[in-house]
Amino acid sequence: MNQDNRPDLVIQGSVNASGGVYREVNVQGLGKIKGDLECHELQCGGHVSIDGSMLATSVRVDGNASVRGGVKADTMEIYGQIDVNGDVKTTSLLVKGNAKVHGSLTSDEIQVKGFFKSSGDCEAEVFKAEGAFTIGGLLNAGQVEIQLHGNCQAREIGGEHIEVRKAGSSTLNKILKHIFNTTLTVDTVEGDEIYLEYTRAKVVRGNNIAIGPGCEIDLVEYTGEYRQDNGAQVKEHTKR
Amino acid sequence: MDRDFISKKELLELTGISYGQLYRWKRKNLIPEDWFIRRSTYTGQETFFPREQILARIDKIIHMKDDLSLDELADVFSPQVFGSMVKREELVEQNIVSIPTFDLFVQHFGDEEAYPFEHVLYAYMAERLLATGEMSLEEGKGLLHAMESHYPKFQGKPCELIFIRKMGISAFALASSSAELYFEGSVKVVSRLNVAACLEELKTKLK
Repeated sequence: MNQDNRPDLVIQGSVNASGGVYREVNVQGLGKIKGDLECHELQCGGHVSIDGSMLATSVRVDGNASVRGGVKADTMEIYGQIDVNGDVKTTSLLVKGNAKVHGSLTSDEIQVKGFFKSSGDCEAEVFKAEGAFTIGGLLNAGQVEIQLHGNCQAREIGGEHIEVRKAGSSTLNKILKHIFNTTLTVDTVEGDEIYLEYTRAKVVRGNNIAIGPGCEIDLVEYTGEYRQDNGAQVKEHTKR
Repeated sequence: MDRDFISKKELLELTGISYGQLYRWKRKNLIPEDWFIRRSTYTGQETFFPREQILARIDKIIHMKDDLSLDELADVFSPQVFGSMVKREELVEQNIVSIPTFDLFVQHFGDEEAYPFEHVLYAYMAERLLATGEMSLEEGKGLLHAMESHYPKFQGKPCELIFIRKMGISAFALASSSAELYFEGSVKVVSRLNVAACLEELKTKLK
């Protein structure tokens, strides 16, 4: 598609605009977009609500965005807040603010440094979290790296390499730890290589498993090697 | 648990693949989402798969992954019939249909240079039944007709073609693969064809 012919949409102040095909969409004020939106670049420093689905190459939200349908975008950076009612498909997602997806999320790479919530599944090649997240379904990623800063939750985690560590002991973290419980709560963890700290899980299954401090786990099933820290509570572990 | 289903644990033990591989294949869409069936058991929630389908699929992935990349494999398994065209010559040359089936096909869809992929699929299914001698050429018309008018409604979702005969009169039906069907006693189910499986076979033939 020839992108040169597309108009730009700049919203400063309070504007109702129609959806359609644009080159750049820049919202600094309060924008309501009626219908589906397709654009090359979406930048939002203000408030935008899209009354349909969104297709974009790059999305950057510093303010507040809500989308009624699904979102397909190449890269997404969220420094402010986004609320998507449908599914999200993207190649790379960075969340430094707050992102809520009421469907499922598919991406190559996901980085969460703020707060992330999805009601459905979450699939990625690489999933790195240094914030807090709630995943209502299955977190399926080749590489899962979680540094616990807040309360993290998922129904199930599956993948090749799964690593959960407590965040460093800065003063801020110590204070936060008293306010929030910094643990990962999950039903099942399944993977090839698993290292867990401060995790509450019913079942952990995999090849090589190491259970670190602060874990409370009902059942561990492994086929390769198994290690367990003194500060871990494991009710039962069996080699298959 | 009925024997048509296999638990995830049992599956991995039987096939020797790891959790990582299973999850990777799921991510690459080699294993359809709706095959992952969650059920509660006495140990909590567990995932089950339709036994025959998953075992056949994993066997194929293991045997084909040396020749094809995972993304190419995903194309093979995808139930989506993307609007590609197949050249008329390829039909016979690539051994997709025999000459009699081809004639029947041309009678039905007209004499064209190239045919939409889904029409070729219908011809391939007719060929399968003709080759086994279960269906006559005349009945083949009914098959093409049934597929043409009803298959698009499934929009790529898994379904089955059922070929029945009662007192010499034949009929075709398309049913979604989760449907249970019961027939009266004098009905003979001549054949049931899994459309997705035919699609896979056809795609591998066309590669």
